[in-house]
Amino acid sequence: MDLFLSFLYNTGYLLADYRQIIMILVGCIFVYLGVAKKYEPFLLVPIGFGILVGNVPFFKGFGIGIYEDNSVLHYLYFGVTTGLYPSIVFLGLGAMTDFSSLLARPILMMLGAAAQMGIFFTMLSALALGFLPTEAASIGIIGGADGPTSIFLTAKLAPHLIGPIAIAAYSYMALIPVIQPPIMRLLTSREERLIRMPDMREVSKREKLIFPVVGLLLCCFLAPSALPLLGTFFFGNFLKECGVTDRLAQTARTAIIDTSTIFLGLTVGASTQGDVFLTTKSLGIFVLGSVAFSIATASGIIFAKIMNLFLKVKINPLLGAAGVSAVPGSAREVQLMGQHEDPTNYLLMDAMACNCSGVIGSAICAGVLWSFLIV
Amino acid sequence: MFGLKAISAHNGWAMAVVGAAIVFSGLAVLAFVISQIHKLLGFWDKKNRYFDNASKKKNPLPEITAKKPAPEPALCPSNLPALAILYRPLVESLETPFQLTDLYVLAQDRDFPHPHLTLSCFRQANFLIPQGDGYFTWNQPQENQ
Repeated sequence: MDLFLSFLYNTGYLLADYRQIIMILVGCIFVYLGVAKKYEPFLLVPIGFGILVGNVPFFKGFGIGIYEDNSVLHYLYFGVTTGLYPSIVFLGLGAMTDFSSLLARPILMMLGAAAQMGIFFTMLSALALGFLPTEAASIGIIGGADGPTSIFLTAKLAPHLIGPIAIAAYSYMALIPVIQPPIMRLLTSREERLIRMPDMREVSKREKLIFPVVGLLLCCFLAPSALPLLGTFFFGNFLKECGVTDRLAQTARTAIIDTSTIFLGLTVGASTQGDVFLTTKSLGIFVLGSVAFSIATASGIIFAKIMNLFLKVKINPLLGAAGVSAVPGSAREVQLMGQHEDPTNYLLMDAMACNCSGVIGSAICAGVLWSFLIV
Repeated sequence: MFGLKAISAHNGWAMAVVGAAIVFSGLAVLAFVISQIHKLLGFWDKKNRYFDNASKKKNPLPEITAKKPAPEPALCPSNLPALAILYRPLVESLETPFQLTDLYVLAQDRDFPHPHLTLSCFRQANFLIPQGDGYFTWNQPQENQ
């Protein structure tokens, strides 16, 4: 009987507290959104299931939980806390990305820069709300709309906030179809949304080959701290473009990125243990995250409108919304909004150019903030 | 500490301004450089062509009299109208307009010789009239000629 009772006291049914139940519900919602609504399923399903894994109640001290030394989950979490998984994800992203549209219209890169203003605005807001500078920078990077970059910077500056920041970043990325369209409509007139982008010039193979080398050198000489992200990103792209390493590029954009996404999602989800995650700080992070995302979208659009004051050939200001680096979600929203006004208007390629520059921009931001705050 | 005081105390304004300036300038420089790549490549090609031409003028290569290319064999079968009679029942079994792939599959199922080439010749000889979006109709009068 004693054996049975001691077993019973160690089961999750008796160890559970209300915070774990809340988190399990959150995990179920993530899984539901990913599976049934198909909102970013590659992210929400691993994270959602990870939340379930991380919130199963257990007897602490047995090396089971993600925050306990020598547990399996702890070893897997190592890839998050060291910034290893984000770096590998960037390798795959580079091997997937086609920079043709950006090379054909480099001016759109400025929209990628403008959309990063959300990061700095949110960082200031977080400082004003009493967060430490390292925490404020980690919260601000949510405005880059780039999950791996957010995790990378947070792992370096405020590792105790990885869970809430990663969840906020990925949640808002999944909610792009909800967050961005109202801001896009609010800040643009119908005439502006109808602007057509001129045809792009043909980009040669040699240009595409030179770009990752030039991009790596220019960006990483400027912000060497961005090297773990941009180094792998441009390397992945070079594998894709050089034409002699197709097999490596293929592996990078399939098996490697998929593997790291699985472990990244699962462990980030599992790091949201109710007792660690459900705090007022997390709530603040979620609120500031949504501010970051909205400001990033708005600043891209407003900057596009400012550029139009000086440009002979006007650009569609909707493209500014794609300056956040949520690839390809925000580009898709721009395309949908443009086609809603004029079904024959195709903005996708231009929006992808902004998206690509957003990825580079947010990685530079992460590098810059890390170098500012590194102790 | 909260509010503007906290921002100032943690050097927030400077971080934001300098950070934004670095990102803008970095991407602006990158944009400028990549906008010049194709021009530089064009210049490089032009320079190479110039030097090639100059060296050719200095040391003209012996003239090579190129042989006339052999005339291309007539690929289409000569008995195209007869083949058209063969294909007509297949066309009739399809909806109008039909897709070439459907006709191709039927011809292949019946072991007609060289269905791909035959369909291509039908198109050239106006037996198959394109209706747009990859759909075709059969040109009956052409068959009767």
